[in-house]
Amino acid sequence: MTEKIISFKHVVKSYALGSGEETAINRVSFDLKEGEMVFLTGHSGAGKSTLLKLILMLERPCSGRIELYGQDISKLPKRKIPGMRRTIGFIAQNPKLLQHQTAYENVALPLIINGFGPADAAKRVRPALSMVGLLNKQHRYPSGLSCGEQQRLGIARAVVTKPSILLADEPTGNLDPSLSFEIMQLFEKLNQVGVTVMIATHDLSLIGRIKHLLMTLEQGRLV
Amino acid sequence: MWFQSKKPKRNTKKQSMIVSYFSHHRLAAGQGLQQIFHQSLLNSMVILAIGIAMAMPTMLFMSFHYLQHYNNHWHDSAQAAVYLKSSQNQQAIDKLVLAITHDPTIKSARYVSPEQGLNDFKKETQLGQAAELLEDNPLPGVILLKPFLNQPQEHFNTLLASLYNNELVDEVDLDVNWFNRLLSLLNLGSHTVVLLAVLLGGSMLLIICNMVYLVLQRYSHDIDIYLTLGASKRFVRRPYLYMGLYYGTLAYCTCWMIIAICGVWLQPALSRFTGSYGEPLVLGMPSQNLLVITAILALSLGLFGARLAAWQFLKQHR
Repeated sequence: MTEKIISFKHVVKSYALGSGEETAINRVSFDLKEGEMVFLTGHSGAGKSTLLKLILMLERPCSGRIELYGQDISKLPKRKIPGMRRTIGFIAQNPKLLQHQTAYENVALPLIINGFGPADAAKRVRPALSMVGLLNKQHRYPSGLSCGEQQRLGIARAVVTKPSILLADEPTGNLDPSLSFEIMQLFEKLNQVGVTVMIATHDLSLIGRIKHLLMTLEQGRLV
Repeated sequence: MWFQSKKPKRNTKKQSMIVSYFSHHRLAAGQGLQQIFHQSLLNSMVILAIGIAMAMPTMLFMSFHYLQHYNNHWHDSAQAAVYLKSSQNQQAIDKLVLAITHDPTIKSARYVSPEQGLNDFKKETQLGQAAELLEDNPLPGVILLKPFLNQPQEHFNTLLASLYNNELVDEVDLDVNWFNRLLSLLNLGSHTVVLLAVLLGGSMLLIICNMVYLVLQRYSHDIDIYLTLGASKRFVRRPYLYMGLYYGTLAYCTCWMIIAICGVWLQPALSRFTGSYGEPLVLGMPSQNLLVITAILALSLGLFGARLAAWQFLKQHR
């Protein structure tokens, strides 16, 4: 039987806004099983990014329960958050690369954080760069890479630790359609080897071309 | 495809983890050093300021240490002279000297007769021929007292008051007060050194804290990435702690360089001044204890300042 890897139960997240408050996620509940790939869609401001941030523990829910690998992370002690976060690969719309480090060093960073030595890290960095077609540009700085290459570098960095969960927040937002499709195929490949993938996007054309589960958020509610 | 693992993986081989731990320390040490060299002019000025802040109390401490050493030498020159009325009975004088000697505040008492006084005068002043012209010996008998300077001053004053009232005594000349004032001044000075060390140590801590905090702010974007990738706070702050250690180390070296330069510059004047008290002072190497203590203080302040900055920054930074 496939395990539940991500589980939301009546999760609410709201932000104080002047005198009032704005609800970004409103009583959202869902379960995501191991090895599934899901598209999270909705308009801008629907709460897609907030939902991913909740999974990544960058935000804490106001109420409800979020489980990761069966463990409640809503009340996880702060000191345990980094360890849990290391099991998740995250790709942002802006790949957030270290500008003063080479492509190789950027990809090696999560491995160093995970406690890998330089030799062990090298065994993983090169295949990851090769997977995204950037092995020949490993010594370049991010400023020397195109937008699409930077995004692919972000993907290599997210998957180099072989995470169980891969979260992507508008990963194709800055890319042209052909490159977007190429990156989606990369996610599919990762999903085929067992990675649970959740992609937040509002690119409906892309969703139409790749058949997977679909979750739609509207004003913080799952519809 | 190389990616075949489903489970969350972490490097768990113990040997490999130790290697990676030291490898990251090496990396962090390099990053910390890079930060120091990144703005070399600004950091040089900061290190110089910290070095001066360290050098001031250290130099004062050393000065007082040297003065304490001189105490022992000056101790012997602190005395009181009890001038006796002329034509006194020798037995009465011996009795008085004996009584004074038994006083617990007196280290020694010595009677110098008028004849002996005149002889000493002839020898020490080279005015022997002039003294020969005198019909009578004008010098009075004197009892020279050397007090224990570590005894309460009041006891000694009581003794002096009783001597004033003694019928044998004409006058008491006190040559001790300056020394007691010097002792009090040294005592005040050593307290001032501690106070100054605390204040300047505090300022050193704040300077390092502020410098590290500014660097943390400059790398705020990178730190955000580290934290998103699952880096622990310990991992994030490590290069900055090394930076604090470098500040401490360089400030320590600067401090001793300043002290050495000041020592070379002050030596001739100091020798002349102390020479007038009988023994010229030669500045030597600082004691090993002082070298070690200042090193520990500098490194601790550097480390603690950086730790404080990192704690404050990470507290505000998610």
